[in-house]
Amino acid sequence: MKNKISDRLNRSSAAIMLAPYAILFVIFIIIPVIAAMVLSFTDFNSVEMPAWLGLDNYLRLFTNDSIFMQKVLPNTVTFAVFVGFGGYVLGFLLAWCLSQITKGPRTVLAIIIYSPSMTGGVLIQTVWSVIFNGDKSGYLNYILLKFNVIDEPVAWLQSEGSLLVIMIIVSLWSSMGVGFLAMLSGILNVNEELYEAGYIDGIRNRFQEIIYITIPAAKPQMLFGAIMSIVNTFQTGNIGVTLSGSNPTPNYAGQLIVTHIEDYGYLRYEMGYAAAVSVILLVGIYLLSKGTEHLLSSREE
Amino acid sequence: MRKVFFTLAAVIVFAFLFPLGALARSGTSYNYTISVDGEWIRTQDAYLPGGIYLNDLGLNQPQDIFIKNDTMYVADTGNSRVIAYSMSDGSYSVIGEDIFTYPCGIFADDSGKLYVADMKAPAVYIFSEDGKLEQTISRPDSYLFGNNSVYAPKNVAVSSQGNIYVVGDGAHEGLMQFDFDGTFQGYFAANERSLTLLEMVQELIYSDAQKAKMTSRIAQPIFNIDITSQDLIYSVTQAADKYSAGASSGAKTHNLVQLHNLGGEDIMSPDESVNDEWNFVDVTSGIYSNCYCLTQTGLIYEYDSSGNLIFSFGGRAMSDDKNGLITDAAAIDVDDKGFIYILDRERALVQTFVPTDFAIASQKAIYCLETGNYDDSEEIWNQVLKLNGMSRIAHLGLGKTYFHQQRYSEALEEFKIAGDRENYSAAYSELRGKWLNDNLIFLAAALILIIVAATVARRITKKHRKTSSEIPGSGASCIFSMLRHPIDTLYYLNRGECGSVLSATAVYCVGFAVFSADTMLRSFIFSFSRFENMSPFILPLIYFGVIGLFVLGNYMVSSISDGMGTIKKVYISTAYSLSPYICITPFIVALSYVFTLNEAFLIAFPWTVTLIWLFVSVFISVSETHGYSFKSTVKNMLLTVFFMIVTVVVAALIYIFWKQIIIFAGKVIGEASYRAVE
Repeated sequence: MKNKISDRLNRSSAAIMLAPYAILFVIFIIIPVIAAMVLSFTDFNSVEMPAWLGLDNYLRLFTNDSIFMQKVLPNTVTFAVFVGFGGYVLGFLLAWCLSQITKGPRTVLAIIIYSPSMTGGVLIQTVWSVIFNGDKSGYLNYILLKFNVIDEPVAWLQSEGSLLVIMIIVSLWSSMGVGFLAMLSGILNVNEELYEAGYIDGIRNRFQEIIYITIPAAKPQMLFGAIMSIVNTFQTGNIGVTLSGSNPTPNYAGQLIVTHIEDYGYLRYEMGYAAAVSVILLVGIYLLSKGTEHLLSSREE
Repeated sequence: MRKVFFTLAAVIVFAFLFPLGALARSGTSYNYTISVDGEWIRTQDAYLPGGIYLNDLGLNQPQDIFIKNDTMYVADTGNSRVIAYSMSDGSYSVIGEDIFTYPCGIFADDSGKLYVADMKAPAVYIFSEDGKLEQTISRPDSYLFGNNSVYAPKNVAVSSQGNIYVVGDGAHEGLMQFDFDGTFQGYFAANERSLTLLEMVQELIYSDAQKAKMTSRIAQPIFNIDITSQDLIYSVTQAADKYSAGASSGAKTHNLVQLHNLGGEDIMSPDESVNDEWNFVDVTSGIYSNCYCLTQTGLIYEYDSSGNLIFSFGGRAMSDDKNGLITDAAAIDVDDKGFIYILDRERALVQTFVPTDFAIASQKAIYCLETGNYDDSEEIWNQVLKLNGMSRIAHLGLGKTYFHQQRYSEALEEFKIAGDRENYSAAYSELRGKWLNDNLIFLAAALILIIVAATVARRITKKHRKTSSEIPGSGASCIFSMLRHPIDTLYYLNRGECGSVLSATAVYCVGFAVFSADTMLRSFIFSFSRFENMSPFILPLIYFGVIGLFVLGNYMVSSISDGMGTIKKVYISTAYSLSPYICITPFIVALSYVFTLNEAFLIAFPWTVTLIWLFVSVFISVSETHGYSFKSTVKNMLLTVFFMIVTVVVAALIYIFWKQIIIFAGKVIGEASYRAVE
């Protein structure tokens, strides 16, 4: 009898071990995603029963939502190109530069570069808000006024022209996270002999060294860094709201897809429409990660 | 250019028609409008010169007129008086003879009150209906006004609520706004001007003494105003020089004719450049929500309320006093019937212009359109088009009418003729929305089918593909492998393992086809090149010229700076480096038929990516073909571009010389034969 039970437990041990995670994953990830997909076909205000709309939400998103098409999408793509792609390249270059110096300064500098991503949201409010403050006491305004570049203080965080740029700068500043550390360790672990062999085989400069040896050798860490930077880009999507203090951001200057979803979901209670936007965002991220994976792993086929 | 036309028109009129005594046309100057191509064209007579007023009153340098019902008020500035002239019986009375110093702006409101701006008193005087001085508004002592501000009222306008707007001479702060009892309310609708980059640098490095010497950077003050029946304010501003006016001037920060709402913002055409003139002196609102602007040289520009130019007429009298031409224009006004009155300061008289049926029809059509009477407006616009088929404003008006009647496909045609992208895009968006609503189910089904088919196809090809080698085989597949592995592909290309001169030539030809499609086949909304009027040789000339020069220049520069590439290698690798352009552009051209201006970003973004990619691809191709380092690649490319520019300049010079030589040879031969005959 006892034998039988332990036998059965043994056989299903994998399932049992997996169960806590599987149950949580289904409850908190799978079910909400499916619910969002279903809701995206309805008109739902979170109080009444959802009313079936078919594809109307998607049609509206692509043909009638001028804010999404003219502000949110351009903002998001610009932000993603600079913070995601630009931050990734910057992270790699910084990691490569750090790998060229001796251990002591490297550790100190790595901690300095890494720390903004740890502190995150709290520091953004305090540090950057002081720098870009809209009155005379803001650091940037003070300096520009002192050198007569501007006549009167500029409300940097409320103005249409500067909000997105500031968002990009702040996000870049805080984007050197785990991905950066991973790439640093990846570059440090490249076998030195490979470089020597490379120079014998005709590599002439540092650029070729990076292209032909460093990147292929550190590929797993590079892939990890890329995924982390995509995740980071969409995680920091709320930065515009944090900086400007309002959703929607002034004249939609810093509105990204994430904030657009929040705007519709939690401010206007058009949950169905917000769900449709989030499904599109999900599809977008999925395609982006697929593409990145494809790009970075292609040569190892 | 227009000045030349008018001078020419005036000269022709004087030289030929006038002495004969019999006029072929009754107008003295041509009427112009903007054609569908955005060019000035002559049109039927829209306004004809009418009678002359006030030439026997002994006016001295009058500055302003204002017409209310039957009475014409004139600011007789030189004689320091205001005259109320009855247009029906010719009688007149003088108002406030001992009060004024320099009256130069008048306004009469509906209750019969008369407002006179006196620049040198300086004050605004308000008279009751029976001509008694009721109130004087002198310099406000409110701190809002500013201690150093100049108070020199030049003209005045009063809203139906009794708000008084005063134009100050040189008042950069904007219009002065007073309420009905004369209390200063603040400034209104100031022109703005931003610092240019050069000025910012100057601001940073110049000393105070140097700054004091520089010319003023303050925005130009509003020059004159008029108020509409809806209490909106038309204003004109003079430009600092004549080059910062007109539709094509990119430098201007605001139009020189503006329509201000109650907040002082320009609602006429704030984003688009209006066909304006730099020396506007007065503006008046017409009876059909249109406005007339007068230049100091006597040209009259008529605009609709969105800043579209309707007609332009009038002109300067050069040496002769001729009806319909003006010596020194000072003010303009319109009466209830739409007759236009223009005050000539130097000749001290008022000229009239009478609208023809053509002008009245155009105005009525615009009015019907704005008030939502679409059936009438369609009919009248069609009549106008019968009279002048090239009129841009008529096509635009008809298009808008169709749009409001929800006849989108007809509207589309009209907007295309009028060349109006924004409205075209709006009509296109409506049509597309309707189509999508009808066909959404099929579209979704097709999308799912395509995804399924693609997945299946990929599964099948995956089984077969396992044996494929790393080296791209034919020349055609190189194009696609250039996208993913540019460096590897270039390596094989340069070793001659794939691609040939023949295949490269084919790639160039495909590239040309893509280039032509890109310039000519894009949808109207996203095509910005007008090639229909150009020679058919211009496209191949641009494409093959640029590429030929690049290949040649690149080879020649590399051959003197240690490049490894031969001319053949350069030829082939350059062809394949066009790969991103060739592969992506057709999709962009196709997408331009799907998207409207609302989604313009979805066209602009891939386009930018393509261009950047193309540049990177060409850069890598140069570096790989010649075995260059980064630095020498940059050097090589800069030198190549320099070579291309120099070649074009030299070719142009040779062309000019050659022409001169031919002319010279022709002359020599002609001279010789002439002498020989002699």
